[in-house]
Amino acid sequence: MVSTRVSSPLGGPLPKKPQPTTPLQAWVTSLPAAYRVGMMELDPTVFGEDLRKDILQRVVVFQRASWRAGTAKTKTRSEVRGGGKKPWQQKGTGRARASSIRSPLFRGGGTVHGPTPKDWSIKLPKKVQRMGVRVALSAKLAQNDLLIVDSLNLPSSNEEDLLEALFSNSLPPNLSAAAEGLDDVTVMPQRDINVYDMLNHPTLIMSMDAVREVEQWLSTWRHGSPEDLTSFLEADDQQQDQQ
Amino acid sequence: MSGARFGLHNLQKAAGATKQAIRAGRGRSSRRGKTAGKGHKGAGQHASGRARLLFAGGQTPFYRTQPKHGFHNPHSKEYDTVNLDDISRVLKAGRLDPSQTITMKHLMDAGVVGRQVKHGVKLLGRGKERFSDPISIEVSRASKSAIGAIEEAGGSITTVYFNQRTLLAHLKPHRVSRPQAQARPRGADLEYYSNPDNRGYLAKQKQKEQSMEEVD
Repeated sequence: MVSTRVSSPLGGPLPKKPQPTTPLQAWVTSLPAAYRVGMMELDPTVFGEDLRKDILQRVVVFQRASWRAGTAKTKTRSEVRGGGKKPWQQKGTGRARASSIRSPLFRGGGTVHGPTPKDWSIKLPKKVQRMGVRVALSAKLAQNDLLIVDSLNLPSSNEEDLLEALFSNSLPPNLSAAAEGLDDVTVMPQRDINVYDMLNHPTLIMSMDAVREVEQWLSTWRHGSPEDLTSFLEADDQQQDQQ
Repeated sequence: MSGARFGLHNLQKAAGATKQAIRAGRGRSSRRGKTAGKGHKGAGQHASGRARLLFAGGQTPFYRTQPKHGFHNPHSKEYDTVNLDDISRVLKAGRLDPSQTITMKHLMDAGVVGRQVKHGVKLLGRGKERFSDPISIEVSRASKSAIGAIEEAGGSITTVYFNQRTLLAHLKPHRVSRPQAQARPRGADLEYYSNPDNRGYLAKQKQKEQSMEEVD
């Protein structure tokens, strides 16, 4: 990748990156038949973010650090049970002097500088956290790994129905029940969408409603108000509906 | 774009993101050999080599020569105030949209309250004599006279509880990482927002109507 560094002629702050003015286009698929039923317009500030791998790396490190339990613990010589009596007298035995059978030098003795419970979580600016989700979404779209479906309703909560839906390249309120026994499928509501899980799975499947909600949360749209963007994007949805 | 798709296995830091630590005391050619950048002799050689803030060399430091006074109330709340004449003014200027419910966010965007709202916004009754806009408004607190004036003008008012977290999410959505669930008031706040006389959002609608009639 070639990157060009932009600097302001007066050495001041860098000019703001121009915002995209046109929405992105994406296919909408219908399950289980995998028909393409139309197109939908996507917020370019959410799905057209620069593909910053370094931002993804920071968010993944942040997420994984926050998951660490931090409960590793060893006992020091004062915490190991027993060891109150001096094992043998200080002088005259010919043995090395010893004060306690729980000294770190003894078998069964305490541990020196062992792990103690600690909080491993690190901090990451919230704007970077959100940018990470945008980058991951944009990467999914750019890699053609994003499948937008009109609805995620399954006929039943059977795994078979889900697998059939998935492998017929189509998709699935029986959704989480059906996916429970499947290691390769993670089902989550749109508010839980996160960088780690998106990168951990090759494909991301979202309903149109989920796309709209995520856009509302993540958009950095600056041309007018958020309502303008919504009406701008939704006008197109309605056109599609009419067709 | 090069071949492989983005995954957990091929993430990378940005070039130049990491810097190697300086290793002190690793030989003369390292520029930090011998005394390892610590100079000669004295307490400065140690990790705790500097006096703590406000330490006066052993003499009683100034802050301890003075007696303690005052106290800090952890439960106190400071509300930013907005008066009815402020609202009339921005409505007239077109900076508030009277067709939708006016929230504290709208008040902030309209410039009636500053960018630093601490615990919420309280609506006060200055300008009630001339207030005639039928608006619907949601704020943290409201004075009796403000409530009376808004309802007399044909509008409605609800007082809504926000804690610091939900207030930040409401006023500055860009500052929170995710949408926030609504907070539930406790103690004195719960009482305030359950009271129909305050037009609290937890008060029963019927009781509110009753309360409005009493005012009339």
